[in-house]
Amino acid sequence: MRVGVSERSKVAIVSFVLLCCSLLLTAYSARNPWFARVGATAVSELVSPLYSGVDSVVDGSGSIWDRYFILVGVAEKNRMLVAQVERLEADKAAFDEQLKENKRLRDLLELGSVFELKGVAASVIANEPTGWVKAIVVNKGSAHGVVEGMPVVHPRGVVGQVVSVSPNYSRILLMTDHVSGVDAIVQDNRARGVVEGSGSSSCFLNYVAKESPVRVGDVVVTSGMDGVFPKGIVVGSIAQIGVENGTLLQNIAVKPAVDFARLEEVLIVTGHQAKREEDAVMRAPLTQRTKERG
Amino acid sequence: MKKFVGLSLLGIVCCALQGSLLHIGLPVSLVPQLVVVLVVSLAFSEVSVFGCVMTFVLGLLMDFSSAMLVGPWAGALVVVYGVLAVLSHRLFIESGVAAMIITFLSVVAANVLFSLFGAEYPSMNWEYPKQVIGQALVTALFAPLGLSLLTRRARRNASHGIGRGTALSAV
Repeated sequence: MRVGVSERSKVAIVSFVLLCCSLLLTAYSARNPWFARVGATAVSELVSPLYSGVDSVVDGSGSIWDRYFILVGVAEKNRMLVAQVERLEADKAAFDEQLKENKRLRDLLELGSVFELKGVAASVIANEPTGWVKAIVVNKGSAHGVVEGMPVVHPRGVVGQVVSVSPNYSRILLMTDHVSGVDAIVQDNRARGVVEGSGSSSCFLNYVAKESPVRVGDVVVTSGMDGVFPKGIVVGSIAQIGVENGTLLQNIAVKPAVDFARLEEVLIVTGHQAKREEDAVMRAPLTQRTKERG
Repeated sequence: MKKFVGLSLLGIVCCALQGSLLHIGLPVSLVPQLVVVLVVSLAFSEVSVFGCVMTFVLGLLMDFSSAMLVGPWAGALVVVYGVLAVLSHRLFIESGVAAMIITFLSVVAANVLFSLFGAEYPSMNWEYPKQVIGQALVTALFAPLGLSLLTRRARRNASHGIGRGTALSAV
């Protein structure tokens, strides 16, 4: 491609101007999170159908592979019989897959009933593309009653929080992202702290006093005090404890209970927020409630 | 307009592949950054204001995929594009090794700039540099094929390939 000097200068100038625009946008979106969410909603609606399509293709190709594998080594004279076996095997594989999915969904529902939570079960369809932000995309959105800020859980424990919602898809910030925080307590000795993501596969339990007798292996659960997550849901277990001289707090590493690399279905808790709003109304002064009714 | 829509769709497909298919069975540190390959190809085949604006749009697409901040990826990719576009007459992208080196450096530069613009550096741990290097290596391995596919049309139109710069062709 033959390009003149003036064109290159023009490109350099426009690049600089666009870089300045990017920095201004960054500063603006840092102060106004709604700006990023509005754009993300539009992009989700554009990209997520592709995610769903890819998901279906992968499932389909898995099924084709299973069928091919079953056919290897089949004798010619038994073709009819083997075809039947193949069909049955494929049905069985599909049945097993559905059975496993049913079990996972049942676990989600049981979790909901144990903690008296109302929720929407959703399937994970994609991850954040670059890996810098620990987030996933699920196939349920505002059309299913999901709103921003809702907690997301799994039968094994806490997953994260909904950060952006489009009509049919939601983006969930995982507990392991470094901007995530969950108010938590150690189950045995009730020491309270905040579980914060490290940006890797583990988390930290911060703000626990040096005197608190926590041990490696202790289970950490949500305290319910952050007003986001219901109380008593498992966050993880203590993997490492460090104490630095001259500090008042302990450095505690927590291994999340949920294996985020193998996450397939999650429960978006929709009832908890409604309950919180209901509680807030009940706590409001009687005069205010009377006014609202009037 | 046709070109803009086509490249935007290609960017969306790249984002979707990065976010879904390439995550299956691969750890995050081995997922290639296809959008950066697209930007590198633009820097060599589309040295113009349009290429610059297109890169900015691709960056915004990446930013919106994260739903956290709008701008860091756009800024990082525009810088990578700008530098490559200005130097494109001195770089010989047709060589496979040169394409790999340029792509590797572009991925690393884009991620470093992203972390600076997005103020991600205070929270960085060793996992991020490892992840970036891994992604850059995988992207570089993919680059010769990806770039030859993306720039095939531009190369066909260009009849002066031999006279191009040789700064990296020696590699």
